[in-house]
Amino acid sequence: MDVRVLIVDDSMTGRKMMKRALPPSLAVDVTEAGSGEEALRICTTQPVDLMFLDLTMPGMTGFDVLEALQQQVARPVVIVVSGDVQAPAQQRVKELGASAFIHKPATAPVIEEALKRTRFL
Amino acid sequence: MIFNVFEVDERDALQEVVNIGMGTAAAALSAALESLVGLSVPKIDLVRMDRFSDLPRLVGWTEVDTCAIRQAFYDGIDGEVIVLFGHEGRARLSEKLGYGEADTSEEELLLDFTNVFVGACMNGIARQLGIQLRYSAPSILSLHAPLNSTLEQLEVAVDSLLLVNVDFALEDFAFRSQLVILFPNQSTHRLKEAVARFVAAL
Repeated sequence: MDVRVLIVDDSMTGRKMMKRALPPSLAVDVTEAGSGEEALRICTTQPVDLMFLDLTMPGMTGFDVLEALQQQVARPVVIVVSGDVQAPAQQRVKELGASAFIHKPATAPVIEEALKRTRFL
Repeated sequence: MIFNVFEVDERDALQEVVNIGMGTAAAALSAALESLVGLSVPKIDLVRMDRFSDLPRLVGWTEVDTCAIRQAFYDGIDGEVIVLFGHEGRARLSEKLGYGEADTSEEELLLDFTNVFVGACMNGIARQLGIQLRYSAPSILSLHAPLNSTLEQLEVAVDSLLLVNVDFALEDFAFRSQLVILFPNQSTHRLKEAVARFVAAL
């Protein structure tokens, strides 16, 4: 079965870059969200296995999304993909339940490595 | 006022490239300040500027006691970055960095800060766009003075401005600083070409 992937980024360019970097060996069904609010709506209406989440977004930030996901019973695996590469930010997203942290711009080998660590590959 | 030289997808790409560049700059500041640096989503806009003294109005900067630092970049694309600090932010930043001792001046602090910040940000942008940049040393444009009066004395051949407005917040205090990237006309076109190549590769 295809992995149901949700890419969350307020930037269309960011979402395109993320999609392009997904490994061809992973069969995916990709949905996109342009905000944290939209991402949470999608998570409550359809199953999501894996979320690629940007941190710096207007409105709900990636941190807010991670906090909100903690209240949900069925949570996707979250890989944070962010230009905010500060060590304290990385520590905080891990405390909030993110499984991996990738620096933007995400490259195919780095994503592949993160997918192996989260057992999608 | 907004230039129509960028297509919608190019503007989005430029915004994303600047966001990533600012993220790199925040990481550099975080390491220097030993504190988590919160950044607002940078707002970018490309506007025409007829006179250099129009800058404060264009960027919405109203603080009277302003320090402005400039740093030129050249090679792949030529231009200048101006970083604006208000009185409050400057004082708190000095305190945070432990400056104020007899052997270190406020000017040195601001120049060091700008050098780290601008270098990290512009290198982050340039790397993504596949261009090389070199930098001059930063210098103080105005210190403890209204920005308008300083700028009125300058004649700089710049007609477009890439405005990047960012608010900073450290864990224990917030301060406003503004980063403005100025491009001469020729450089605006080079920037557009670089962004168009970036978009085409997506």
